[in-house]
Amino acid sequence: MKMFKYLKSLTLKELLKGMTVTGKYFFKRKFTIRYPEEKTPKSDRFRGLHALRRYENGEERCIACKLCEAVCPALAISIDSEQREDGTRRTTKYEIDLFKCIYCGFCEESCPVDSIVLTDIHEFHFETEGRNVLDKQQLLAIGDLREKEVAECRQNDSEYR
Amino acid sequence: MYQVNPQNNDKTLANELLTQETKETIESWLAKYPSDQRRSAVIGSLHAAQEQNGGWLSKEIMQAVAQYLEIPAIWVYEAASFYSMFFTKACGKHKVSICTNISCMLNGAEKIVDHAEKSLGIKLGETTEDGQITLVKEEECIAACVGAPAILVDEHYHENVTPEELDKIFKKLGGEK
Amino acid sequence: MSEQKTIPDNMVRIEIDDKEMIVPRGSMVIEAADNNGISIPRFCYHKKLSIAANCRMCMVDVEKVPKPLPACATPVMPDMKVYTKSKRAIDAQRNVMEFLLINHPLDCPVCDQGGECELQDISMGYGRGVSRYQDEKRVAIDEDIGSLISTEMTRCITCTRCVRFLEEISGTDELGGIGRGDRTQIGTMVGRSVDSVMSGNVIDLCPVGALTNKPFRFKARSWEMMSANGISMHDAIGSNLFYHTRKGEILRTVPRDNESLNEAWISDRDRFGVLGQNGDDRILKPMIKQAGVWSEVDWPKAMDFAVKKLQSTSGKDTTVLTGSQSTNEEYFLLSKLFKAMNCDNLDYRLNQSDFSQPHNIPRVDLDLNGVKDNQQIVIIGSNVNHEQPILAHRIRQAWLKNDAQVSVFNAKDYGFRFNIFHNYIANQIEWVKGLGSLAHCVADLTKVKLTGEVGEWIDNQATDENLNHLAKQLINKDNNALFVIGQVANNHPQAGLIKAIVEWLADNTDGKVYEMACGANSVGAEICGVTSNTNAADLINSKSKSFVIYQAENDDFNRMQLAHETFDKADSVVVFSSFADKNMKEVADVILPIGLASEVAGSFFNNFLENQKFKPAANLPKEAKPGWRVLRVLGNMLNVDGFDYDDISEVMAEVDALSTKRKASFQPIEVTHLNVDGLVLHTETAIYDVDMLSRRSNALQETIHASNDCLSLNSSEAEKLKLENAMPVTLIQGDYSVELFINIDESIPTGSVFANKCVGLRSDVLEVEVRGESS
Repeated sequence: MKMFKYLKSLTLKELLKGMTVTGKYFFKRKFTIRYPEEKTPKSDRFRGLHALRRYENGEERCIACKLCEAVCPALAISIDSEQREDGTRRTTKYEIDLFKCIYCGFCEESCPVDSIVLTDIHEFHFETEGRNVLDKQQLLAIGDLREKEVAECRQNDSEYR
Repeated sequence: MYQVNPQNNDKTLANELLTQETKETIESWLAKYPSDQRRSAVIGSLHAAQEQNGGWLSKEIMQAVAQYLEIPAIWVYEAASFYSMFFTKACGKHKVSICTNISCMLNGAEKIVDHAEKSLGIKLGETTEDGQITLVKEEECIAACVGAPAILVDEHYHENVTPEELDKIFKKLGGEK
Repeated sequence: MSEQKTIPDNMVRIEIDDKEMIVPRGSMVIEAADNNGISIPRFCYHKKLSIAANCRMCMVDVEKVPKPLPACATPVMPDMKVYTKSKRAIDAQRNVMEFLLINHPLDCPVCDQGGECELQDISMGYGRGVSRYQDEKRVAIDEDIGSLISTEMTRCITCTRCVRFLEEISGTDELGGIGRGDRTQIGTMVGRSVDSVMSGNVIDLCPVGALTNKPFRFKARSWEMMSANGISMHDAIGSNLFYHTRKGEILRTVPRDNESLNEAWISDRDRFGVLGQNGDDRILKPMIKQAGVWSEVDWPKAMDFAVKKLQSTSGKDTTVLTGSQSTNEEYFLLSKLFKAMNCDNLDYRLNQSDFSQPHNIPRVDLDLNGVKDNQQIVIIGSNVNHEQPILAHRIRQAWLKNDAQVSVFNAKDYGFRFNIFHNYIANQIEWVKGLGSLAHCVADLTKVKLTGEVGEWIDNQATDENLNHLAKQLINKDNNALFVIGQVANNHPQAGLIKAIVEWLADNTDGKVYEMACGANSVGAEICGVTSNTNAADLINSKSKSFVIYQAENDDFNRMQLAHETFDKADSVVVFSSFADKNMKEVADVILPIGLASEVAGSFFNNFLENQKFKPAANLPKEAKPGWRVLRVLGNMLNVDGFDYDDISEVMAEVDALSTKRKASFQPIEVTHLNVDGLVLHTETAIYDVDMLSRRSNALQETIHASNDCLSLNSSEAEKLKLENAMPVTLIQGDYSVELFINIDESIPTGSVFANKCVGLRSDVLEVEVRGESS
């Protein structure tokens, strides 16, 4: 039997078989993409980095109702609120701990004013300790940066909400 | 027993603002009710006070009435704000209430309102510039359905009112333009 | 089996939801349901208020009645069958809910009531998901009704609980329903504020977010807060509270029902006083003063420093003075520590001036529920409404419900919220004489012989027709008499005499005495032994080398200037305190930061000798420590035996074992005769100046009851002195003078002037001089 196997290997049958597969796939459509130069398309509902949105007049949307804080299953959000000078209810602290966050999107769902949203940003990392906690200014800045995309995504998805 | 909370003995406003005539009217109203039910006299007293004060009730005169009746001021204000015949804001000398409830409405009260507004140049709830006539805003049924459309001019009923008649009334009151 | 249960005459048998129950005749269906665990939705009904039946939420279906009936206004009938969950009942409730929501804004996310809102809860059960109403909603304009309650009247559903509370419980009639129909709004008489000292209760009563807690506004949500049991830190009623804390900080206070004490209410002082905890001068780290310079140090260093200071003088040369806001455990250890060091100079009665009656537990012969059983109540030297608002409420209820007749002996007409039977208002000297006259009348009527010096003094007072009338009522066997002694009497230069007369009156009219304790826990200080043979006034005047001041500050003393001077001269002043103002920092050598009663475990004795225990509600700020721990360590450092406690429960057990027996009644005393030519000063501590905490509560200090720098006198006196309203004057008391502004107030009797004590006055010198600008 061993002898037979040895003789068979001399015909290079296995190699040719393998090469056939390779050859077949060589001409087929490619699945892999060259990340990060290339990216896959994302769903409008993609849940990435958080952001706080503003109204068109520049006023922050968040009214410190704390529903996101209450609904967060990972206790990643912490909020302090106070009466602002103009009498409105506003946050003085809005922090999200990205290490705790599980990106479930409940905060976005619970928000009565569409303030906290999960953007499609998924490429982020932290180099120093403590940077994992996003504060209110950072969240608002992210919101300002991505407002157009965020609004577009919500618009596209509005039918199903 | 019906207890009224103790009231401040301060009677300055009552003494300063209420005329002798008003006080007498209030007394006559008080006499009609049991002595521990002074609140009952509030409507009669407010009528007297309103007449004295030129057709409306200022905050001070309401307080004066409360002091005189020895009841909480808020009770007087509650009554004054409840009834449409009391005016808690300055208004004209004559008050014209046009009923717009169902019977009058079906008989053309809206036409009367339009005519009144046009001829006086004011809207309901407003007063003519010379301070003569106030069109009372949204008067409810004045219980004169039999003669609809009916209006109430300074506590006098006018039934089956036509625009022409209205003009005459306004002329009499001196508010026509 | 036809076993017929016998039902007493005053009870009826009814069925609610097929559940059989026997309930008192005349009670309402909703009460029967509540007591038997059947829930009926409601907004306007409240067990402590009258029935309005204007929200219509509690509609129930009653058998054989063609329409649903409001459960709160339907009395029970024999064999009545009520269905709260039948289709007709539920339909009625759903429809009412829909109407209520028509004008209610959908602003729950910004509403402070969100999460604890009765409308929210009930709309979850009975409301529609989507409103069918499409027209404009009603909008109401908010009024500013003071610094304690914020209004958002658009949310109001006009249940009128607040109106009824202010009319029935507080008796101030400040709110009413303005307008009519769908435009009715709850409001004040045009732009007034709500000034009742119990006003904060409308916040709890409001089923929606129309009336909310102003200092708490937008601070936290109900679900984020922890609730901790607490006891009032401001008056000796010992009202039961819940502190609501978030991250260890007390954000607000709400009442905890206790039928025998505060029922469902608390005073504004109890509700907002604790907010003083964040006062600017809160001490967060131990501080020592070396060569006149303050430095923050760590605890071991501060303790060493304090021990050195305490050891430098003998116990006999040390004086210990405490406020009346600390726990029993602290008082107990303090007394144990310093008595072991041979110190016999302890006192807590800082505001008192006459000590002719020796140390004693305040005499209270009844409990609060017993107040209503008295037909004759005599208030002696007390602004009871400000001193113990809950007691004032009880007296008011006795007047309102049981027709009790309340008489008053006071130096100012405080405008109590009950009718006064005999109103004896005279200056500080005269009203005591009036009380003597009353005793004289009683003696004449009962033919009791007056003995002793007090008896002689009473005998010298003239009798008077009016007082004779009152005396007749008091000795009437059908009338129970109650004598209430307050702080004006307690801090009066003739306090001993007043108490002796009251004692005599109570004994001879078969009456009871209610002696108000000052502060929250002076009873505890007394029981735990912060007592000695010397009194606070003498101690302040003494040449003690070393002073220990425990949770007290300058404003707590009757003689503020003298206290300050004495401390300044002393060799060492060791302060245990949560706060230290400028005055304290000037004189102290070391300040050890200790926790407030809300931040430590402990117990308070209330006026009725109930020992109420509590656990810490809030976290101690920064490096502050519980007072009892500091004292424990100090005990060990000073090598005093018996300070090896591991847990506060061990100290509590020792406090529990203390005797709470009152010494025999008031002693007959030597009478001090007062004689003043000209104006007599009446000064008292303002309601929100009673302790260091309430002084620092900004919300309370912004109310109209806060102390001011006014000198009040009536118009006839003002005319005599040619003074006008708001005129600046100088008030001179002994060698102290202060600039005040004239306030013409007819509630001040002729011959008397009134000013708040916090401007630097003392209550035991009645002779004053008023100098106008011109003179």
